[in-house]
Amino acid sequence: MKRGGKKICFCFPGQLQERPRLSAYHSPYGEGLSKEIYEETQRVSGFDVLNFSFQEREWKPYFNVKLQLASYVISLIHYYRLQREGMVPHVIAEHSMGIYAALVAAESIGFREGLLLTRDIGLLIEKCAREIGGSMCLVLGLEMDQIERIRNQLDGYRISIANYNGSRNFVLSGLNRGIDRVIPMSLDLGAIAAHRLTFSAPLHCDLMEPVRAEIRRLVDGIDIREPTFPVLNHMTLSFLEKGDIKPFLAEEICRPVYWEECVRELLRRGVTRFIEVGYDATLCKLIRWIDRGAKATATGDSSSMGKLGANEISRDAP
Amino acid sequence: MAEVTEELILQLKKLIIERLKLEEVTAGDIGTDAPLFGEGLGLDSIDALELVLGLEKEYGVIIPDAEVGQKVFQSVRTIAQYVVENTHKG
Repeated sequence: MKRGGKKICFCFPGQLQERPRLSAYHSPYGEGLSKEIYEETQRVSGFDVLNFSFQEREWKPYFNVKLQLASYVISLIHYYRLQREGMVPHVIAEHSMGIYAALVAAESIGFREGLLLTRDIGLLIEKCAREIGGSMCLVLGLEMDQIERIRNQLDGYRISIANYNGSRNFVLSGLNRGIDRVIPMSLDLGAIAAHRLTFSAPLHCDLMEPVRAEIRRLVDGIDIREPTFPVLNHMTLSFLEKGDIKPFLAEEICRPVYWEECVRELLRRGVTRFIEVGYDATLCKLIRWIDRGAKATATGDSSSMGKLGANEISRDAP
Repeated sequence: MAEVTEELILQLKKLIIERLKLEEVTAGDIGTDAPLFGEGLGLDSIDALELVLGLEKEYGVIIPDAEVGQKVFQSVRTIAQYVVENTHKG
């Protein structure tokens, strides 16, 4: 990247926390969701993104998988829109389950492959979470040493920090009965917010180890290409190369997301603007919290996107 | 006892806009008694954390926990009331 030039980072958020309210912005008859994506999603995965339902009755209980598929499809609707408008990234970052859409954007995998990975890994996670009885909670306003004190008092409940989202901003994973205790303990210590995430699986901790090998088998079955844009590894802060991607996909489920460090690393590498490619502005708010000077815009916020001229966010001419 | 002034209300609206980088919102868009979270201005818990920090920096008032935060962050007027009550102590 040229010093003083523009450097755009597209950021792909993790799973939604609630059923998205899709407007005409996303409809098959609007400009967002093309008929092709809509039909491909239904045909390949059985998921109807507009109705937030699976075609097969037996899939109805799988709320987490639906959230993941909806997040994936919505991110890519936005990505393809940016692409049509001539906006391309210099670098790509992702948070948690945003990796599948990020890899599609980087052309390492196709839309169909990403869709199947999202669905099938989602099913494995959901099954594992049910069997071990684990979940996640958000804790805002406590320092790291306070979080560690809670963890130490809950020895045996397998409580881990799953997301390092910024100072005093953590997501914790653990066994359900442990998470049940983390929440009141955090509030007693003065947390501004502590609540369970609706996405009910203990992601990004060693409770997910039982599915690591199965995920590896799934990803071994797909063809992975070299990323056309650098994709930041949220565990090591290096860029993923073709050979790293399969082990990364199996391991990242069991390891924390160091989002604060990712943002700081991207700023060190000269990123001048972050564009969150997804439903809302979750990552933009985290970026704002990490560095108030960083410029961040969400595709889900059409008013602020509209203010950005193509010239401001398109790549510099070589 | 000090009272909430229109000037303080306006300052707080500006603080919310500045802390939360609400580029599309003006002070006039924020109702003094309108809910800030959920269906109101649509703020969430990370926004609350920003406001906690902003109030501490600008007015030296501390929101000690979630229980107080829930009461204080109901509206701009409840924030103003809290600021008035807690900046004139000792």
